[in-house]
Amino acid sequence: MSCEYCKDKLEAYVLGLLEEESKTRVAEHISTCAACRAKMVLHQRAALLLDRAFQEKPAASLRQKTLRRLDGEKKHGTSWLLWGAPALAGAAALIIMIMLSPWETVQLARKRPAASRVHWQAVLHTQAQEAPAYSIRESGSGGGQGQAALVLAQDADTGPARPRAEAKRRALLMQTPMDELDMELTNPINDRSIYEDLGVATEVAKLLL
Amino acid sequence: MILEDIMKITDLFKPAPAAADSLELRFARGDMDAMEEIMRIHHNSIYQLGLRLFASRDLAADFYQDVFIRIYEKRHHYRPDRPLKPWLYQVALNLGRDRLRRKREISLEEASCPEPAEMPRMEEEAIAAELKQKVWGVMESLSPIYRETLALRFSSDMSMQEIADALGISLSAAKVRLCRGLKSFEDAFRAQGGEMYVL
Repeated sequence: MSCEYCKDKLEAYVLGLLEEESKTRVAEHISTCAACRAKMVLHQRAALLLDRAFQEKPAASLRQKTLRRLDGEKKHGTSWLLWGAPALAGAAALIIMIMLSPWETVQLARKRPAASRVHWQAVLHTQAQEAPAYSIRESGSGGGQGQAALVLAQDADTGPARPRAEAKRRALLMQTPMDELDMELTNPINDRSIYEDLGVATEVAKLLL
Repeated sequence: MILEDIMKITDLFKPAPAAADSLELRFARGDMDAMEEIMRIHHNSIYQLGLRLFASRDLAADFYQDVFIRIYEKRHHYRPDRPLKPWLYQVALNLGRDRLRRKREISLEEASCPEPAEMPRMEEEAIAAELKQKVWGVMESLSPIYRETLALRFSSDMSMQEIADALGISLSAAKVRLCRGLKSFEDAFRAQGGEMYVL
């Protein structure tokens, strides 16, 4: 057994990390080698310092304080459920309303049959493109062909309308067959500006009731 | 007679009276009594873990509270069929690591070494205040990986395997880290003029 063997094992020996065989060999060596024993004692003292210097007990009130905090958070969680659930339901309803297409929202306001849906989409799209020109037309009860009468046409055009939007508006005014409108005016619902005009459209819808 | 027979038969299907639920199971269910019991068991060790990690009584007290609140919040992540202690220390260690990261941003002036006047009478009798202050300061100067390894080893009665699990490293790596941590502490202690005299 040499000092070289023990050199890297003394910390592990002190910390109780050695396997039985190594532990025995180190113990045998330090019993005969004063230099290694002195090193081992230093490691032992360091370990003792690390152990003893932090041997403090927390204040007795700390546990109670923590329990009160836990209890408070538990109650807070419960009270949140009490007011939070209805608020959450309200928020969900609002989100659903926002997620609905403008047509569906208008439809809710007007309680109209779904037959005129395509037409209303077209109208809203036109509004979005060139407000404040409103071109409102209702489809017949059967939907399909554009045989509907012009219910309201309020043109208060204050600026140059975009050509495409103008074409759509004219198509509406000229009682273009509804199926064609449907094809022409696809994707109006994703137009963000429609949402901005939703309030106007809803107001117009009220006139039709 | 028939009724009695029916009763006997239905008794067969009744579940056997359950043994008292384990602490782990009650904790996982959010039982506050179980929580209190866990706090009682780990009262000193979690506080001392905080002391070793932060070398500050105030931070250790905050750490103590936050550890138990954190484990209560995270109880749904705990599997009651596994030992609670390593999981608890793992959560505590993660919290401690976050705090140490933040603490590094605090100026050294705010790092608090214990004031001799604050020390309890019994502790003063056991260890010289000056020496204690030096140990805390040296501990605080160590690399976080050594500090957390030493803190776990000296604050808890966990086995080395449990410490390795809490650290997220292998058993052999944990042993090496612990030995190097002790060596590192000794070197830093001597560098600051400390003498390893008997406590």
